[in-house]
Amino acid sequence: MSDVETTPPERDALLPGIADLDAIAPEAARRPPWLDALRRIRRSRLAMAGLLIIGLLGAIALAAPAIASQHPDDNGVWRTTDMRNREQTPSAEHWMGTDQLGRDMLSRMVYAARMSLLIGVVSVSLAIAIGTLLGAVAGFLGGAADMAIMRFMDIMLAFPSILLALAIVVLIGEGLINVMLAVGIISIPTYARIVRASVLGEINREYVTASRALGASGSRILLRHVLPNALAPLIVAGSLGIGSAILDAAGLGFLGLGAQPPLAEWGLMLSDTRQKLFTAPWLVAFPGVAIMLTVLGFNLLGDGLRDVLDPRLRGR
Amino acid sequence: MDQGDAATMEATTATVEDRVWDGDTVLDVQGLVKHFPVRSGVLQRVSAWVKAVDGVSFTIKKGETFGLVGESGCGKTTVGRTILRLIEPTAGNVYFEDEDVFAQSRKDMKRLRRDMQLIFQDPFSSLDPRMPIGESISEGLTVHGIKGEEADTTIRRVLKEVGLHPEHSRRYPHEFSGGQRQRIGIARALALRPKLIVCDEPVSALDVSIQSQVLNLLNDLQNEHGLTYLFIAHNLSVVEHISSRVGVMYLGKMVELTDRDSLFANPLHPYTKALISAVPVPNPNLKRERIILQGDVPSPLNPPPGCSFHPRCPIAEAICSEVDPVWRNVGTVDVEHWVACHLVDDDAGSGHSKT
Repeated sequence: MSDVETTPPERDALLPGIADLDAIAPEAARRPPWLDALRRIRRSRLAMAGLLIIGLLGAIALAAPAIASQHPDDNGVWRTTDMRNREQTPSAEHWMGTDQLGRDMLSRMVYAARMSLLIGVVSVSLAIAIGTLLGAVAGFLGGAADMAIMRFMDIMLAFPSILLALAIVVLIGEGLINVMLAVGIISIPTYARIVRASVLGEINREYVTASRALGASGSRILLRHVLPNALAPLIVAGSLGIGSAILDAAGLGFLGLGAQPPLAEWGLMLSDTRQKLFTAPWLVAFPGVAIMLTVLGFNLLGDGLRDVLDPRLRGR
Repeated sequence: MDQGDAATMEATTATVEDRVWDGDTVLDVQGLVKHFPVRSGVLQRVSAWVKAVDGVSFTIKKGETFGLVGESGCGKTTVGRTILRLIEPTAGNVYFEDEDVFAQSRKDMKRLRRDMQLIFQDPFSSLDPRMPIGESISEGLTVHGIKGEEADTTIRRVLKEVGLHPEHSRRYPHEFSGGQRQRIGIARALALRPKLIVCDEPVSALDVSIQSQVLNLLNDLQNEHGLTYLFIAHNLSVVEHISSRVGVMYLGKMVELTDRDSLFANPLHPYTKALISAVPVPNPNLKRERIILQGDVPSPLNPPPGCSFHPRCPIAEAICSEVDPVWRNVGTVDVEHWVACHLVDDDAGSGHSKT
């Protein structure tokens, strides 16, 4: 940047120490905060490991049609039972073997990756959207609205989450979309609480007062000052939340309430093959390990992000 | 453009009943009261009131700097913020020029905010850490519908005015030093071309070497733009340097108010005397009478009866703990000297009966 011209000389003479601002703020400190955060994520090994797992999973999910040798519902003899092909051990033709109906496991696994990521992202997005709205309203309005919203959130939190999800699915019916809804709904309180806490913390900050003194409206303060500052904890909770959402959805799938056959979904695959644990262990192992790795990936990323975005660690 | 606006506004805003604006008074504060409720118990019932500000009156003329001093917790900041209606008052009136601040609708209040701005004590916490400073400065402009080219030139101009490079507008607050951040805060307050700026301890958080720079900057800006300041501080040397008139607050009440020279040459209230005697003088040989106050400031939850200063007052008499002292002018017509103390003679401020 050219700092040579511009400022009128009298003022510079009057106020020493202004011209050498570049000495105080070297190039490195001048990056916008998000770029700075990105740099720190790259330095965190855990976060990078999580990112790697998720990236790989994402790539597999995206490239599913290219990787899969068969349609996930196909057992070679289209939509008829091919008992000759069932429960084959992993081989060159079927890398992960075939399942109890003779379908290629690898094909089903990669398509199921799509399903799990979709469930995780959709349900967490839903939860963040509604949770942010509720939390912001509660924190901003306070009083009776705050009381009503947050006590309702407390009631939801009082139930074990999987039990609540179960109840919701039973209420609105089974199926993939309803499972996403249920898993989304049960995670609303988490995000509502985070946003409310951020709002309460931000609203008394001096820069919010400054904004009010300038004549800014409540909604402007909320959108421009409060929510951006609440973003970091939301990102952390969100990435941790995707992991548990996938786990919850798989649990519901295992109980037969989520994705319905012949759809390929890890929880459902696990449940369909659970009696084969001793005769065809790979049928159980592959979906189980896949769920574990996915959840681990999101948890690692979430933990890493928390370390990076924690305001107490900023500026180091 | 500003003048046109002001003209139409004067036409539309009906003159405040039985109050004639002299055209010179920018701020007129009358009997300002702010009590904060203290809630306790399960039902959050109001169990007590913190009397942060308890009947404060003063006026500020155009182009003047009015210093408001007092120790921590005496209500200075609350006065400043209530005037700007960042805190709703309990009672009292505040007039900005010819308008009743507390009677404004939300929309009119937004218009008034263009003319009344605030500079904060802590320049770090008063800037949004996630906003480039240019955006912080332009926020007021955006809110009041000034955009594009006009906003850009304004930002460049105010940054230059406070001694920063216009190129710095894309940087973030953490890239600046304390003094520079305070300049940014001043630039933000200036961007809307206000008439009155409430400076809430603007130099208390700064290094002494930077303090004078910022004070001089405030002085220059006042001369250039004819600004009026309400300068809140606890440092008497700073107040003596910058103010034309000074009000002294104690426990939510004004105890003495006069012009700067009279106050420092002839303090009348025992509290003011104690404060002034505590200001360090750079002369080791000078023997001075030091008045050292005993005890702490009483809680504003339960201020003492009578004169609230009496438990710590070195000259208190029986009457002080029983009767509220009257807020009265003991000066002359030219130099008003207001004081709230039973033990001050009626003509003590006229300059004839110095004790």
